[in-house]
Amino acid sequence: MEKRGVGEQPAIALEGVTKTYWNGAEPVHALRGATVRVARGEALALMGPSGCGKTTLLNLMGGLDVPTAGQVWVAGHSLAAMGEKDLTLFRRRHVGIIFQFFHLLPTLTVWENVALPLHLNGQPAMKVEAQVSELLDRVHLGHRARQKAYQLSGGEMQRVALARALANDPQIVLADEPTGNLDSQVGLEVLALLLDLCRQRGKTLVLATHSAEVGARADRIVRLRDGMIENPDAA
Amino acid sequence: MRRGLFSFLTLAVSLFWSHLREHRLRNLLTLFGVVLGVAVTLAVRLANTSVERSFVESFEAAAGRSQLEVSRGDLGLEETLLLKVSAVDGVAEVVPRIEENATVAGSRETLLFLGLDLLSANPFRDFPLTGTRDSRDFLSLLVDPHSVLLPRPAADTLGLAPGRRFEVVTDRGAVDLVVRGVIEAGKDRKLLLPRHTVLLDLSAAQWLFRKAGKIDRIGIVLRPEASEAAVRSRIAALGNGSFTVDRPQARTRQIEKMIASFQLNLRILSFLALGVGVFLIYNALSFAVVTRREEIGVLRALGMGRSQILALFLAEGALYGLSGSLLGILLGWGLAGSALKMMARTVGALYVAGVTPRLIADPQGIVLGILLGLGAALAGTLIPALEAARIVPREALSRGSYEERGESRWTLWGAVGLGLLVLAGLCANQKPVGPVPLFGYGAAFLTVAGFAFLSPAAIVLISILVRPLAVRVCAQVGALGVDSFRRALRRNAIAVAALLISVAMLVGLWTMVHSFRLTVEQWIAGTIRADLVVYPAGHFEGRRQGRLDPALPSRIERLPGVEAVDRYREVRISFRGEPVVLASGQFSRLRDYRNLRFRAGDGREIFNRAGRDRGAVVTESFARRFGVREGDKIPLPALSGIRDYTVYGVFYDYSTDQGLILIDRQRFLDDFGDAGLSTIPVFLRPGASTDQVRREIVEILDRPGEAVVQTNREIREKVLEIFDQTFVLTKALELIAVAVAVLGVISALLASVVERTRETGILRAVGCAPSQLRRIVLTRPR
Repeated sequence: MEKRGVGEQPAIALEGVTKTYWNGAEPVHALRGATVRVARGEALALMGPSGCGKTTLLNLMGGLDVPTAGQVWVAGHSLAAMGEKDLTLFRRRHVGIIFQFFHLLPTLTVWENVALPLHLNGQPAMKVEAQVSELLDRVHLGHRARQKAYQLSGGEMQRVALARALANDPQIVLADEPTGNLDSQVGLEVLALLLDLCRQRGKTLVLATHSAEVGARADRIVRLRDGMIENPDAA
Repeated sequence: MRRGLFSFLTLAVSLFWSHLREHRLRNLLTLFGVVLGVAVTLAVRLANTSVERSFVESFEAAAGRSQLEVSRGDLGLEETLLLKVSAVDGVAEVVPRIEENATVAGSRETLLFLGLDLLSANPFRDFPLTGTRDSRDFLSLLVDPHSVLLPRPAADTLGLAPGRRFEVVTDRGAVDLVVRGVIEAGKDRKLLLPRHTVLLDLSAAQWLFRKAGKIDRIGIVLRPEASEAAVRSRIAALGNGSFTVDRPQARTRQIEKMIASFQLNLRILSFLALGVGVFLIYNALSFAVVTRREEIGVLRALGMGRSQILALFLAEGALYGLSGSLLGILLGWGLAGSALKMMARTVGALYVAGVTPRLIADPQGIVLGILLGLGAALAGTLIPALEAARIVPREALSRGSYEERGESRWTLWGAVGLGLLVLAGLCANQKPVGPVPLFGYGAAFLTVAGFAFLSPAAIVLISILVRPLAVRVCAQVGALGVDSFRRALRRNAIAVAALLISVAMLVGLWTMVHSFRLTVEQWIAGTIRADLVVYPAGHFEGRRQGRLDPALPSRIERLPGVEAVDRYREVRISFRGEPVVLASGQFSRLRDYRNLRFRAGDGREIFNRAGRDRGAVVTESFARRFGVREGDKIPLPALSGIRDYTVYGVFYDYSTDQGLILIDRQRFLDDFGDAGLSTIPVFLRPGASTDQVRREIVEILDRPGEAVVQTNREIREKVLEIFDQTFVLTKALELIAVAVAVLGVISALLASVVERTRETGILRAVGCAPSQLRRIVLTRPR
């Protein structure tokens, strides 16, 4: 795992990143030479229309995908050259992800969903217990801990997803349309909670969104169109 | 490391448990498949072990502390041999005995009658005897042939106390016996006698079973300083090869060899049920991978590695296997009782009479059951688990429908299938290895595997052929059905293969049984030609070695409606260390009245020549088993020593798979000195009334009920009844395998429905009626 000093470097740095998918013999260019930097503790919003490459960019930052060309540095690690195993460990230790459709495990309880990353990290039971309780209290769901995930409302589900993303105390939090599946009022409440928690804990947050209102709450906005950065100065 | 494993296991169990409750019906079906597979395998094993154990118990109990045994099979030994054997240097004690079976009157309960010299060579004399009031009681045991002793287990099983009477069917017909005492276990010694044993004096047994002057076996206790090998050769020298001297255990081994093929067939069929259970697990876990793609994607995104996903699914499979095995063991124990009854009936009818085994606990079998269940579950889980581990989180979390890869490989699989079928053809032409058709089993396995590999190609080709028809009949709705069947090619191919294998085995087995039955019917028509046949009492209730009154045929011959009678005797002897049947009949009768089908040559001519010389005809199974051909000489253990018989013909026979040697009656009497009769075939004059002659035969019996007279039709029915009974267990096992495969297909269909939920939603949104949806599911050409 290639590493560089984190003190002087941004938390996330993508340089000239290209991502091409293949639809049979036809190439689909999701990203074309994107360069983005995110400082430690910053909240960055990625904005743009559907299919512009926001999710692809988040996937590359989260180690869920690797670029076709270019470099990806996250939390001091170069992801472009990492193998499958290292990427898995990287995700487990350094990244928390929040999805538009929550992606909770519906058959598990709220408590079990939040505890999942801690179990994967092999944390001792006492630490799991303390961490999960603290996070559920922070997202105001302590009273719902024993409920199944599918029994919750959309806003509650996203709050559980938020707690789960923070469970392993990652440096980076990535949120893909975190309010996209919620009504505007609930969406704004969840967003406020997300920003609060990340800022209080010094997390670097990157969120992809269509919503100008959501984008406006971030520290900075990077706009994408057809796989390219529209405002390279802001990137 | 340990903490990480614990965390992982906690996660695996909580996920398994939550999913188990989510798809209850499907999961129950899967679990049931494993339960059934393990249960059937265990039941067959328990039944096999119990049957074997019952022989060991009976023989060990009968042998007592003898280190060697002298025997001539069913031919029996002359009583005079006792003195000669006891005089041999190194022999401390001789224990003569008679072993016979008799059935309790009015039931199918078979008892083992152990005739011993109660005064001088009674291995049970040191055990306490209850109920014997005085020396008169004991004396009556020696002089009254109706007096018997019961070991405690037998007394309890039969519900008999000292002084009570009970009726059994022996060669003397129905005989009333009285219990003179009950042998109890000693303070420090267990009474190792099977629960169906009856003890009586040697002379009483000789009378009851028409064995005057004969004994079945002589047990030999050696002097401490004597060499077993030396004593053995000294005793063998007395007989010149007319009898065998072996350790008592050799007899158990012979019986085990005798029933080995029968047991092997059942074992293989029981594994089939387990094998089909593997497919069921495969289906269930494949289904789980499809429905839980999102979950796998989330877990991978949260940092679960490929190997952990693999381990997660393998753990799930193992939990299925473990819970299925435990339940399977309980069900297996329940099924074993029925399997044992069926098996004991068949073994009794075809191999050794008087088997009354009880179910014996088999800890090894239970461990094996758990291991088999676990192994089967893991084998079924491996491919879906690998598939799950290969899931890319980004793809799994995107909201598209899942398309299975790998359709392009159907040509490769088809080629492998054809290759396996060619190999199967080559194996099918190889000869058996000893009595076991190893290459035959190989050919069957390769055929099954070959067709299984061909199933993806079959699906693709059928889909291509059926699609235009489906479009014409049901428009796009039909096309969707056909296409979705083809899309999940690998999973559907495996479900198709499971069904194909079990149905093919079922059809194959039933065709085989049916054609075998037809062959047996033809054989019966050619062999059972007598109008009436006289059998010893209890013959059809498990007394296969009974003896008829030797004077009876002459009395029957004098009846006005009778044209001729034969005198047929069948005994089990040892040939080259293996059990075979030696039979004798009047060759002139066999020539004139029976129509045996010979492998080569004319039957009449063969009987004429074999009757003149010391000749024999043997069954095809005997010829195959011992590599004997026409013209070869076979050594047989005659009274005066080994006598060589020339094989004049090889004929087809289905009465025993051990092999049968048939010699002329007169030669049998001269060489083997056994005047007993197993059956008396009676041929009537034209126009004589069967019923009338039957009544007359019953009237001239010495004792009422000592023999039964059956008409030709009744015997044919009995033979076919035994035949059908032999295959009951086989058919039952096969049906279970098919049931498991059908569960697999239901499971695959359910998976397909769940997999297409999104597609179904779209169809419903554009106006597809539920009836049309049903058509889509049903047009999948499974």
